Amino acid sequence: MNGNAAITDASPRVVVDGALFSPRQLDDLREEARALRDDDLAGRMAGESVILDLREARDESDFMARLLKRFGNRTQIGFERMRRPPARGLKGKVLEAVRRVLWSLMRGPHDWAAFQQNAVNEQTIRALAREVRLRRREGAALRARLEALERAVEPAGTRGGTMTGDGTS
Amino acid sequence: MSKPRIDQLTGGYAEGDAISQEARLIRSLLRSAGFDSDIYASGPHIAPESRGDARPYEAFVPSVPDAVIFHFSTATAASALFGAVRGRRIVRYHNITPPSFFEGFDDDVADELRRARGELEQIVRLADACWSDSAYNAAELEVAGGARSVVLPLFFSEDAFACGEDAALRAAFGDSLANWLFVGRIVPNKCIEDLILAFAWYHRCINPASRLLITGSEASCPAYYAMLRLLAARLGLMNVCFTGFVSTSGRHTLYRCANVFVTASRHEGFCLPLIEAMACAVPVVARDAGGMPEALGEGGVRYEGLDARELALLVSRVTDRAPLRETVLAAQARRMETWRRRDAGAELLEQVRHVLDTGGTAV
Repeated sequence: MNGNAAITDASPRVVVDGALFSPRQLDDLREEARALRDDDLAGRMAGESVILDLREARDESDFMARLLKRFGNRTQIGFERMRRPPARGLKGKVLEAVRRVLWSLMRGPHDWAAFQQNAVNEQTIRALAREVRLRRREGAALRARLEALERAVEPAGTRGGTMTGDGTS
Repeated sequence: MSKPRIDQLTGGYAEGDAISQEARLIRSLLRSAGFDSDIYASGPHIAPESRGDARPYEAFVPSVPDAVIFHFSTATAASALFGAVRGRRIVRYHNITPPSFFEGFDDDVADELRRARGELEQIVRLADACWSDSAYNAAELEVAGGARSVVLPLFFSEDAFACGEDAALRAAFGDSLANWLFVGRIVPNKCIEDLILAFAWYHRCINPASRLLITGSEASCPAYYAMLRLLAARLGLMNVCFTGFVSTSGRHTLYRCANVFVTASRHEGFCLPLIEAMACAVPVVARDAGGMPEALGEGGVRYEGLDARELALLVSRVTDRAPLRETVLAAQARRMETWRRRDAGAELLEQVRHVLDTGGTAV
Protein backbone atom coordinates (compact mmCIF):
# COMPACT_ATOMS: atom_id res chain seq x y z
CA MET A 1 0.00 0.00 0.00
CA ASN A 2 1.22 3.52 -0.57
CA GLY A 3 -0.04 6.89 0.51
CA ASN A 4 -1.93 7.48 -2.71
CA ALA A 5 -3.92 4.30 -2.61
CA ALA A 6 -7.45 4.52 -1.31
CA ILE A 7 -7.40 3.67 2.38
CA THR A 8 -10.83 2.14 2.07
CA ASP A 9 -12.86 0.73 -0.75
CA ALA A 10 -16.08 2.38 0.43
CA SER A 11 -17.58 4.99 -1.85
CA PRO A 12 -16.07 8.44 -1.26
CA ARG A 13 -18.20 10.87 0.69
CA VAL A 14 -17.83 13.84 3.02
CA VAL A 15 -20.58 15.00 5.37
CA VAL A 16 -20.54 18.47 6.93
CA ASP A 17 -23.31 19.79 9.17
CA GLY A 18 -25.41 16.77 8.29
CA ALA A 19 -25.19 17.45 4.52
CA LEU A 20 -23.26 15.45 1.95
CA PHE A 21 -20.62 17.20 -0.15
CA SER A 22 -22.00 17.62 -3.65
CA PRO A 23 -20.22 15.66 -6.41
CA ARG A 24 -18.63 18.94 -7.51
CA GLN A 25 -17.31 19.73 -4.02
CA LEU A 26 -15.92 16.22 -3.79
CA ASP A 27 -14.29 16.50 -7.23
CA ASP A 28 -12.70 19.83 -6.21
CA LEU A 29 -11.27 18.23 -3.10
CA ARG A 30 -9.87 15.29 -5.02
CA GLU A 31 -8.41 17.42 -7.77
CA GLU A 32 -6.72 19.75 -5.29
CA ALA A 33 -5.38 16.73 -3.41
CA ARG A 34 -3.91 15.28 -6.60
CA ALA A 35 -1.98 18.51 -7.06
CA LEU A 36 -0.11 17.95 -3.78
CA ARG A 37 3.34 16.79 -4.84
CA ASP A 38 6.35 15.63 -2.89
CA ASP A 39 8.51 13.15 -4.74
CA ASP A 40 10.64 12.40 -1.69
CA LEU A 41 7.57 11.55 0.39
CA ALA A 42 5.98 9.54 -2.42
CA GLY A 43 9.27 7.61 -2.73
CA ARG A 44 9.39 6.94 0.99
CA MET A 45 5.78 5.75 1.00
CA ALA A 46 6.34 3.43 -1.95
CA GLY A 47 9.63 2.15 -0.54
CA GLU A 48 8.33 1.63 2.95
CA SER A 49 5.04 0.03 2.06
CA VAL A 50 6.55 -3.19 3.42
CA ILE A 51 5.84 -1.90 6.92
CA LEU A 52 2.14 -1.77 6.22
CA ASP A 53 2.33 -5.33 4.89
CA LEU A 54 2.71 -6.32 8.54
CA ARG A 55 -1.07 -5.94 8.69
CA GLU A 56 -1.35 -8.93 6.38
CA ALA A 57 0.42 -11.29 8.83
CA ARG A 58 -1.56 -14.50 9.29
CA ASP A 59 -0.60 -14.90 12.93
CA GLU A 60 1.94 -13.67 15.46
CA SER A 61 4.63 -16.03 14.23
CA ASP A 62 4.20 -14.72 10.69
CA PHE A 63 4.22 -11.18 12.05
CA MET A 64 7.52 -11.80 13.83
CA ALA A 65 9.05 -13.29 10.67
CA ARG A 66 7.98 -10.27 8.62
CA LEU A 67 9.18 -7.85 11.29
CA LEU A 68 12.59 -9.49 11.47
CA LYS A 69 12.86 -9.31 7.71
CA ARG A 70 12.11 -5.58 7.86
CA PHE A 71 14.73 -5.10 10.55
CA GLY A 72 17.21 -7.20 8.64
CA ASN A 73 16.74 -4.98 5.60
CA ARG A 74 17.77 -1.91 7.50
CA THR A 75 19.72 -1.85 10.72
CA GLN A 76 21.82 1.20 9.94
CA ILE A 77 20.99 4.66 11.15
CA GLY A 78 22.10 7.34 8.76
CA PHE A 79 21.68 10.96 8.00
CA GLU A 80 21.56 10.79 4.20
CA ARG A 81 17.79 10.92 4.20
CA MET A 82 17.54 13.64 6.83
CA ARG A 83 15.39 16.35 5.37
CA ARG A 84 16.34 19.98 5.80
CA PRO A 85 13.53 22.49 5.37
CA PRO A 86 14.23 24.82 2.43
CA ALA A 87 15.90 28.10 3.41
CA ARG A 88 13.90 31.18 2.47
CA GLY A 89 15.04 34.80 2.52
CA LEU A 90 18.08 36.32 4.17
CA LYS A 91 17.28 34.78 7.55
CA GLY A 92 16.97 31.38 5.92
CA LYS A 93 20.31 31.75 4.14
CA VAL A 94 22.06 32.77 7.39
CA LEU A 95 20.49 29.81 9.19
CA GLU A 96 21.60 27.52 6.39
CA ALA A 97 25.19 28.81 6.67
CA VAL A 98 25.15 28.33 10.45
CA ARG A 99 23.81 24.81 9.98
CA ARG A 100 26.59 24.02 7.52
CA VAL A 101 29.29 25.24 9.96
CA LEU A 102 27.73 23.34 12.86
CA TRP A 103 27.48 20.20 10.75
CA SER A 104 31.14 20.36 9.74
CA LEU A 105 32.03 20.62 13.44
CA MET A 106 29.69 17.82 14.52
CA ARG A 107 30.34 15.41 11.67
CA GLY A 108 33.15 13.55 13.46
CA PRO A 109 31.30 12.94 16.77
CA HIS A 110 28.12 12.12 14.84
CA ASP A 111 29.81 9.48 12.72
CA TRP A 112 31.39 7.96 15.79
CA ALA A 113 28.03 7.77 17.59
CA ALA A 114 26.31 6.42 14.46
CA PHE A 115 29.00 3.76 14.03
CA GLN A 116 28.48 2.54 17.59
CA GLN A 117 24.70 2.66 17.35
CA ASN A 118 24.73 0.73 14.07
CA ALA A 119 26.91 -1.94 15.65
CA VAL A 120 24.47 -2.26 18.57
CA ASN A 121 21.46 -2.41 16.21
CA GLU A 122 23.01 -5.10 14.10
CA GLN A 123 24.00 -7.24 17.10
CA THR A 124 20.51 -6.87 18.60
CA ILE A 125 18.73 -7.87 15.41
CA ARG A 126 21.05 -10.84 14.88
CA ALA A 127 20.53 -11.97 18.49
CA LEU A 128 16.78 -11.60 18.14
CA ALA A 129 16.71 -13.52 14.87
CA ARG A 130 18.81 -16.27 16.43
CA GLU A 131 16.50 -16.45 19.46
CA VAL A 132 13.45 -16.78 17.19
CA ARG A 133 15.18 -19.52 15.17
CA LEU A 134 16.10 -21.40 18.35
CA ARG A 135 12.57 -21.18 19.74
CA ARG A 136 11.09 -22.40 16.47
CA ARG A 137 13.50 -25.33 16.39
CA GLU A 138 12.72 -26.07 20.05
CA GLY A 139 8.97 -25.89 19.34
CA ALA A 140 9.27 -28.19 16.32
CA ALA A 141 11.30 -30.73 18.37
CA LEU A 142 8.72 -30.67 21.17
CA ARG A 143 5.86 -31.11 18.72
CA ALA A 144 7.63 -34.06 17.10
CA ARG A 145 8.25 -35.63 20.50
CA LEU A 146 4.64 -35.14 21.51
CA GLU A 147 3.41 -36.72 18.28
CA ALA A 148 5.74 -39.69 18.81
CA LEU A 149 4.44 -40.11 22.36
CA GLU A 150 0.84 -39.87 21.19
CA ARG A 151 1.52 -42.50 18.54
CA ALA A 152 3.06 -44.75 21.19
CA VAL A 153 0.11 -44.33 23.55
CA GLU A 154 -2.65 -44.47 20.93
CA PRO A 155 -2.78 -48.27 20.30
CA ALA A 156 -3.15 -48.99 24.02
CA GLY A 157 -5.81 -46.26 24.40
CA THR A 158 -7.69 -47.57 21.38
CA ARG A 159 -7.62 -51.12 22.76
CA GLY A 160 -8.88 -49.92 26.14
CA GLY A 161 -11.73 -48.00 24.49
CA THR A 162 -12.84 -51.00 22.49
CA MET A 163 -12.85 -53.28 25.48
CA THR A 164 -14.97 -50.87 27.51
CA GLY A 165 -17.27 -50.26 24.59
CA ASP A 166 -17.77 -53.95 23.99
CA GLY A 167 -18.52 -54.52 27.63
CA THR A 168 -16.67 -57.80 27.38
CA SER A 169 -13.97 -57.25 29.97
CA MET B 1 -34.00 -1.83 56.01
CA SER B 2 -31.02 -2.14 53.69
CA LYS B 3 -30.84 -0.19 50.45
CA PRO B 4 -31.38 -1.99 47.15
CA ARG B 5 -28.09 -2.85 45.47
CA ILE B 6 -27.12 -2.62 41.81
CA ASP B 7 -23.57 -3.66 40.96
CA GLN B 8 -21.64 -3.49 37.72
CA LEU B 9 -19.27 -5.97 36.08
CA THR B 10 -16.61 -4.72 33.68
CA GLY B 11 -13.70 -6.47 31.97
CA GLY B 12 -11.06 -4.03 33.18
CA TYR B 13 -10.98 -0.75 35.01
CA ALA B 14 -8.78 2.28 34.33
CA GLU B 15 -9.11 6.02 34.62
CA GLY B 16 -9.04 6.94 30.93
CA ASP B 17 -11.06 4.01 29.62
CA ALA B 18 -14.51 4.96 28.24
CA ILE B 19 -16.35 1.96 29.72
CA SER B 20 -14.77 2.56 33.13
CA GLN B 21 -15.75 6.21 32.95
CA GLU B 22 -19.32 5.25 32.20
CA ALA B 23 -19.38 2.66 34.98
CA ARG B 24 -18.16 5.33 37.40
CA LEU B 25 -20.86 7.74 36.32
CA ILE B 26 -23.58 5.08 36.55
CA ARG B 27 -22.37 4.17 40.04
CA SER B 28 -22.49 7.80 41.08
CA LEU B 29 -26.03 8.26 39.63
CA LEU B 30 -27.22 5.08 41.34
CA ARG B 31 -25.73 6.05 44.68
CA SER B 32 -27.34 9.49 44.47
CA ALA B 33 -30.67 7.80 43.82
CA GLY B 34 -30.34 5.77 47.00
CA PHE B 35 -28.92 2.52 45.73
CA ASP B 36 -25.85 0.73 46.99
CA SER B 37 -23.53 0.20 44.08
CA ASP B 38 -20.05 -1.09 43.37
CA ILE B 39 -17.95 -1.88 40.32
CA TYR B 40 -16.25 -5.26 39.91
CA ALA B 41 -13.49 -5.89 37.38
CA SER B 42 -10.90 -8.53 36.62
CA GLY B 43 -8.20 -8.02 39.27
CA PRO B 44 -5.18 -8.07 36.92
CA HIS B 45 -6.97 -5.61 34.64
CA ILE B 46 -7.62 -2.98 37.29
CA ALA B 47 -5.09 -0.20 36.73
CA PRO B 48 -2.86 0.29 39.79
CA GLU B 49 -4.07 3.87 40.35
CA SER B 50 -7.71 2.66 40.33
CA ARG B 51 -7.32 -0.26 42.74
CA GLY B 52 -9.31 1.39 45.52
CA ASP B 53 -12.13 2.39 43.18
CA ALA B 54 -13.09 -1.00 41.71
CA ARG B 55 -13.21 -4.39 43.38
CA PRO B 56 -11.88 -7.66 41.96
CA TYR B 57 -14.26 -10.40 40.74
CA GLU B 58 -13.25 -12.55 43.73
CA ALA B 59 -15.10 -10.11 46.02
CA PHE B 60 -18.34 -10.36 44.02
CA VAL B 61 -21.15 -12.38 45.60
CA PRO B 62 -23.72 -13.15 42.87
CA SER B 63 -26.57 -13.69 45.33
CA VAL B 64 -26.34 -10.24 46.90
CA PRO B 65 -27.24 -7.57 44.31
CA ASP B 66 -30.84 -6.90 43.28
CA ALA B 67 -29.55 -6.24 39.77
CA VAL B 68 -26.27 -6.37 37.90
CA ILE B 69 -25.21 -4.30 34.90
CA PHE B 70 -22.73 -6.27 32.81
CA HIS B 71 -20.61 -4.11 30.47
CA PHE B 72 -19.98 -6.52 27.64
CA SER B 73 -17.25 -5.97 25.05
CA THR B 74 -14.93 -8.95 25.34
CA ALA B 75 -14.71 -12.42 26.88
CA THR B 76 -13.85 -12.36 30.57
CA ALA B 77 -14.60 -14.36 33.71
CA ALA B 78 -17.47 -11.92 34.29
CA SER B 79 -19.66 -13.95 31.92
CA ALA B 80 -19.75 -16.83 34.41
CA LEU B 81 -20.45 -14.45 37.30
CA PHE B 82 -23.27 -12.86 35.33
CA GLY B 83 -24.83 -16.27 34.80
CA ALA B 84 -24.79 -16.92 38.55
CA VAL B 85 -26.54 -13.63 39.49
CA ARG B 86 -29.82 -14.20 41.34
CA GLY B 87 -31.20 -10.70 40.84
CA ARG B 88 -32.06 -8.94 37.57
CA ARG B 89 -29.47 -9.11 34.82
CA ILE B 90 -28.78 -6.21 32.49
CA VAL B 91 -26.37 -6.33 29.56
CA ARG B 92 -24.78 -3.04 28.62
CA TYR B 93 -23.56 -3.76 25.10
CA HIS B 94 -20.54 -1.76 23.92
CA ASN B 95 -19.87 -3.89 20.84
CA ILE B 96 -17.11 -6.43 20.24
CA THR B 97 -14.22 -5.50 17.96
CA PRO B 98 -14.09 -7.90 14.99
CA PRO B 99 -11.25 -10.35 15.79
CA SER B 100 -9.76 -10.03 12.30
CA PHE B 101 -8.30 -6.65 13.26
CA PHE B 102 -6.06 -8.31 15.85
CA GLU B 103 -5.01 -11.39 13.87
CA GLY B 104 -1.25 -11.33 13.45
CA PHE B 105 -0.84 -8.49 15.92
CA ASP B 106 -2.12 -10.37 18.96
CA ASP B 107 -3.60 -13.82 18.45
CA ASP B 108 -4.65 -14.13 22.10
CA VAL B 109 -6.79 -11.01 21.90
CA ALA B 110 -8.22 -12.19 18.57
CA ASP B 111 -9.20 -15.48 20.26
CA GLU B 112 -10.70 -13.59 23.20
CA LEU B 113 -12.84 -11.50 20.87
CA ARG B 114 -13.89 -14.58 18.93
CA ARG B 115 -14.92 -16.19 22.22
CA ALA B 116 -16.86 -13.06 23.15
CA ARG B 117 -18.79 -13.19 19.87
CA GLY B 118 -19.51 -16.85 20.58
CA GLU B 119 -20.78 -16.02 24.08
CA LEU B 120 -22.95 -13.12 22.98
CA GLU B 121 -26.10 -15.10 22.24
CA GLN B 122 -25.96 -16.89 25.56
CA ILE B 123 -25.27 -13.70 27.52
CA VAL B 124 -28.25 -12.06 25.85
CA ARG B 125 -30.44 -15.06 26.66
CA LEU B 126 -29.52 -14.72 30.31
CA ALA B 127 -30.37 -11.03 30.39
CA ASP B 128 -33.60 -9.46 31.63
CA ALA B 129 -32.76 -6.31 29.68
CA CYS B 130 -30.23 -5.16 27.08
CA TRP B 131 -28.99 -1.60 26.81
CA SER B 132 -26.90 -0.61 23.79
CA ASP B 133 -24.92 2.61 23.68
CA SER B 134 -25.76 3.28 20.03
CA ALA B 135 -28.34 2.21 17.46
CA TYR B 136 -25.39 0.71 15.57
CA ASN B 137 -24.68 -1.57 18.53
CA ALA B 138 -28.38 -2.31 19.02
CA ALA B 139 -28.69 -3.44 15.41
CA GLU B 140 -25.66 -5.67 15.77
CA LEU B 141 -26.98 -7.11 19.01
CA GLU B 142 -30.25 -7.95 17.32
CA VAL B 143 -28.47 -9.79 14.51
CA ALA B 144 -25.81 -11.52 16.60
CA GLY B 145 -27.62 -12.04 19.87
CA GLY B 146 -31.21 -12.10 18.68
CA ALA B 147 -32.28 -9.55 21.25
CA ARG B 148 -33.97 -6.19 21.03
CA SER B 149 -32.30 -3.58 23.14
CA VAL B 150 -32.98 -0.06 24.23
CA VAL B 151 -30.53 2.58 23.01
CA LEU B 152 -29.01 4.55 25.86
CA PRO B 153 -26.11 6.63 24.50
CA LEU B 154 -22.91 6.32 26.49
CA PHE B 155 -23.20 8.20 29.77
CA PHE B 156 -20.69 11.02 29.92
CA SER B 157 -20.24 13.97 32.22
CA GLU B 158 -18.18 17.03 31.43
CA ASP B 159 -17.54 17.38 35.17
CA ALA B 160 -14.58 15.06 34.64
CA PHE B 161 -12.91 17.94 32.77
CA ALA B 162 -13.53 20.41 35.60
CA CYS B 163 -9.94 20.04 36.62
CA GLY B 164 -6.77 22.01 36.12
CA GLU B 165 -4.49 21.62 33.15
CA ASP B 166 -1.38 19.49 33.01
CA ALA B 167 1.43 22.06 32.99
CA ALA B 168 4.02 19.70 31.49
CA LEU B 169 1.79 18.78 28.53
CA ARG B 170 0.82 22.42 28.03
CA ALA B 171 4.52 23.35 27.93
CA ALA B 172 5.31 20.52 25.53
CA PHE B 173 2.45 20.94 23.05
CA GLY B 174 0.89 24.35 23.65
CA ASP B 175 3.23 26.11 21.20
CA SER B 176 2.44 27.57 17.80
CA LEU B 177 2.45 24.28 15.87
CA ALA B 178 -0.86 23.11 14.42
CA ASN B 179 -1.79 20.02 16.42
CA TRP B 180 -3.76 17.09 14.99
CA LEU B 181 -5.03 15.07 17.93
CA PHE B 182 -6.11 11.47 18.17
CA VAL B 183 -7.27 9.98 21.49
CA GLY B 184 -7.91 6.29 21.98
CA ARG B 185 -6.25 2.99 22.67
CA ILE B 186 -3.50 2.17 20.19
CA VAL B 187 -5.19 -0.86 18.63
CA PRO B 188 -5.52 -2.01 15.00
CA ASN B 189 -9.22 -1.22 14.50
CA LYS B 190 -8.42 2.48 15.01
CA CYS B 191 -6.36 2.46 11.78
CA ILE B 192 -3.86 4.98 13.11
CA GLU B 193 -1.58 4.19 10.16
CA ASP B 194 -4.09 5.99 7.93
CA LEU B 195 -3.74 9.05 10.14
CA ILE B 196 0.05 8.91 9.93
CA LEU B 197 -0.05 8.68 6.13
CA ALA B 198 -2.50 11.58 5.86
CA PHE B 199 -0.47 13.62 8.33
CA ALA B 200 2.67 12.96 6.26
CA TRP B 201 1.08 14.71 3.28
CA TYR B 202 -0.24 17.54 5.44
CA HIS B 203 3.10 18.09 7.16
CA ARG B 204 5.17 17.93 3.99
CA CYS B 205 2.94 19.70 1.49
CA ILE B 206 0.55 21.91 3.43
CA ASN B 207 1.85 22.94 6.83
CA PRO B 208 5.34 21.95 8.03
CA ALA B 209 4.64 23.70 11.35
CA SER B 210 2.38 20.87 12.45
CA ARG B 211 2.32 17.91 14.79
CA LEU B 212 0.32 14.70 15.15
CA LEU B 213 -0.45 13.81 18.76
CA ILE B 214 -1.44 10.21 19.34
CA THR B 215 -2.74 9.83 22.86
CA GLY B 216 -3.64 6.52 24.41
CA SER B 217 -2.25 3.43 25.96
CA GLU B 218 0.03 1.38 23.72
CA ALA B 219 -0.10 -1.59 26.13
CA SER B 220 -3.19 -3.12 24.49
CA CYS B 221 -1.34 -4.17 21.32
CA PRO B 222 2.43 -3.67 21.43
CA ALA B 223 3.01 -5.23 17.98
CA TYR B 224 0.65 -2.74 16.34
CA TYR B 225 2.31 0.09 18.23
CA ALA B 226 5.70 -1.12 16.96
CA MET B 227 4.39 -1.00 13.39
CA LEU B 228 3.18 2.58 13.83
CA ARG B 229 6.51 3.68 15.30
CA LEU B 230 8.35 2.06 12.40
CA LEU B 231 6.08 3.75 9.89
CA ALA B 232 6.49 7.22 11.42
CA ALA B 233 10.25 6.76 11.67
CA ARG B 234 10.67 5.53 8.11
CA LEU B 235 8.57 8.36 6.74
CA GLY B 236 10.90 10.70 8.63
CA LEU B 237 8.05 12.19 10.66
CA MET B 238 9.68 13.50 13.79
CA ASN B 239 6.51 15.42 14.63
CA VAL B 240 4.42 12.32 15.21
CA CYS B 241 4.28 12.17 19.01
CA PHE B 242 3.01 9.18 20.95
CA THR B 243 2.15 10.52 24.39
CA GLY B 244 1.07 7.17 25.90
CA PHE B 245 -1.73 7.12 28.46
CA VAL B 246 -2.50 10.52 29.97
CA SER B 247 -4.66 11.42 32.96
CA THR B 248 -8.03 13.19 32.61
CA SER B 249 -6.41 16.58 33.22
CA GLY B 250 -3.75 15.68 30.65
CA ARG B 251 -6.41 14.75 28.11
CA HIS B 252 -8.22 17.98 28.81
CA THR B 253 -4.97 19.89 28.19
CA LEU B 254 -4.36 18.09 24.90
CA TYR B 255 -7.87 18.91 23.66
CA ARG B 256 -7.15 22.55 24.53
CA CYS B 257 -3.89 22.41 22.55
CA ALA B 258 -5.49 20.72 19.53
CA ASN B 259 -6.42 22.47 16.29
CA VAL B 260 -8.37 19.45 15.11
CA PHE B 261 -9.35 16.01 16.33
CA VAL B 262 -8.96 13.34 13.64
CA THR B 263 -9.85 9.66 13.71
CA ALA B 264 -9.70 7.09 10.90
CA SER B 265 -11.10 4.30 13.07
CA ARG B 266 -13.02 1.63 11.20
CA HIS B 267 -14.79 0.13 14.18
CA GLU B 268 -16.30 1.99 17.13
CA GLY B 269 -19.36 1.17 19.18
CA PHE B 270 -19.76 4.84 20.06
CA CYS B 271 -16.39 6.71 20.46
CA LEU B 272 -16.41 8.90 23.55
CA PRO B 273 -13.39 11.04 22.49
CA LEU B 274 -15.59 12.60 19.80
CA ILE B 275 -17.87 13.95 22.51
CA GLU B 276 -14.90 15.08 24.59
CA ALA B 277 -13.42 16.93 21.60
CA MET B 278 -16.74 18.62 20.85
CA ALA B 279 -17.11 19.54 24.52
CA CYS B 280 -13.74 21.33 24.24
CA ALA B 281 -14.80 23.06 20.98
CA VAL B 282 -12.23 21.21 18.86
CA PRO B 283 -13.38 20.55 15.28
CA VAL B 284 -13.68 16.84 14.58
CA VAL B 285 -12.90 14.91 11.40
CA ALA B 286 -13.95 11.27 11.69
CA ARG B 287 -14.52 8.30 9.43
CA ASP B 288 -18.20 7.72 8.74
CA ALA B 289 -18.13 4.31 10.40
CA GLY B 290 -19.64 2.30 13.27
CA GLY B 291 -21.33 4.27 16.03
CA MET B 292 -19.43 7.48 15.26
CA PRO B 293 -22.13 9.16 13.15
CA GLU B 294 -24.50 8.82 16.11
CA ALA B 295 -21.99 10.24 18.56
CA LEU B 296 -21.36 13.22 16.27
CA GLY B 297 -24.96 13.90 15.28
CA GLU B 298 -24.69 16.80 12.85
CA GLY B 299 -21.41 17.89 14.39
CA GLY B 300 -17.95 17.31 12.98
CA VAL B 301 -16.94 16.33 9.47
CA ARG B 302 -17.47 12.71 8.50
CA TYR B 303 -15.64 11.12 5.60
CA GLU B 304 -15.30 7.79 3.88
CA GLY B 305 -13.38 6.54 0.86
CA LEU B 306 -10.71 9.25 0.83
CA ASP B 307 -7.04 8.46 0.27
CA ALA B 308 -4.29 9.88 2.47
CA ARG B 309 -3.76 13.04 0.40
CA GLU B 310 -7.47 13.76 0.23
CA LEU B 311 -7.84 13.31 3.97
CA ALA B 312 -4.86 15.64 4.54
CA LEU B 313 -6.50 18.27 2.39
CA LEU B 314 -9.89 17.85 4.05
CA VAL B 315 -8.30 18.35 7.47
CA SER B 316 -6.45 21.43 6.23
CA ARG B 317 -9.71 22.92 4.99
CA VAL B 318 -11.29 22.35 8.39
CA THR B 319 -8.36 23.97 10.21
CA ASP B 320 -7.55 26.77 7.78
CA ARG B 321 -10.77 27.83 6.11
CA ALA B 322 -12.62 30.00 8.59
CA PRO B 323 -16.15 29.60 7.12
CA LEU B 324 -15.93 25.80 7.11
CA ARG B 325 -14.37 25.73 10.56
CA GLU B 326 -17.12 27.99 11.92
CA THR B 327 -19.85 25.87 10.32
CA VAL B 328 -18.37 22.74 11.87
CA LEU B 329 -17.95 24.34 15.30
CA ALA B 330 -21.50 25.74 15.23
CA ALA B 331 -22.92 22.30 14.40
CA GLN B 332 -20.83 20.77 17.18
CA ALA B 333 -22.03 23.42 19.64
CA ARG B 334 -25.65 22.54 18.76
CA ARG B 335 -24.85 18.87 19.21
CA MET B 336 -23.33 19.55 22.62
CA GLU B 337 -26.33 21.64 23.62
CA THR B 338 -28.58 18.64 22.96
CA TRP B 339 -26.13 16.44 24.81
CA ARG B 340 -26.05 18.77 27.83
CA ARG B 341 -29.84 18.89 28.00
CA ARG B 342 -29.90 15.14 28.35
CA ASP B 343 -30.98 14.02 31.82
CA ALA B 344 -28.76 10.96 32.11
CA GLY B 345 -29.84 10.28 35.67
CA ALA B 346 -33.55 10.21 34.78
CA GLU B 347 -32.92 7.99 31.72
CA LEU B 348 -30.91 5.55 33.74
CA LEU B 349 -33.32 5.40 36.66
CA GLU B 350 -36.32 4.92 34.39
CA GLN B 351 -34.66 1.87 32.87
CA VAL B 352 -33.42 0.58 36.22
CA ARG B 353 -36.86 0.87 37.85
CA HIS B 354 -38.46 -0.82 34.87
CA VAL B 355 -36.04 -3.73 35.07
CA LEU B 356 -36.50 -4.07 38.83
CA ASP B 357 -40.31 -3.88 38.59
CA THR B 358 -41.01 -5.87 35.45
CA GLY B 359 -37.77 -7.55 34.49
CA GLY B 360 -37.69 -5.94 31.04
CA THR B 361 -36.72 -2.90 29.08
CA ALA B 362 -38.71 0.35 29.08
CA VAL B 363 -39.13 1.30 25.44
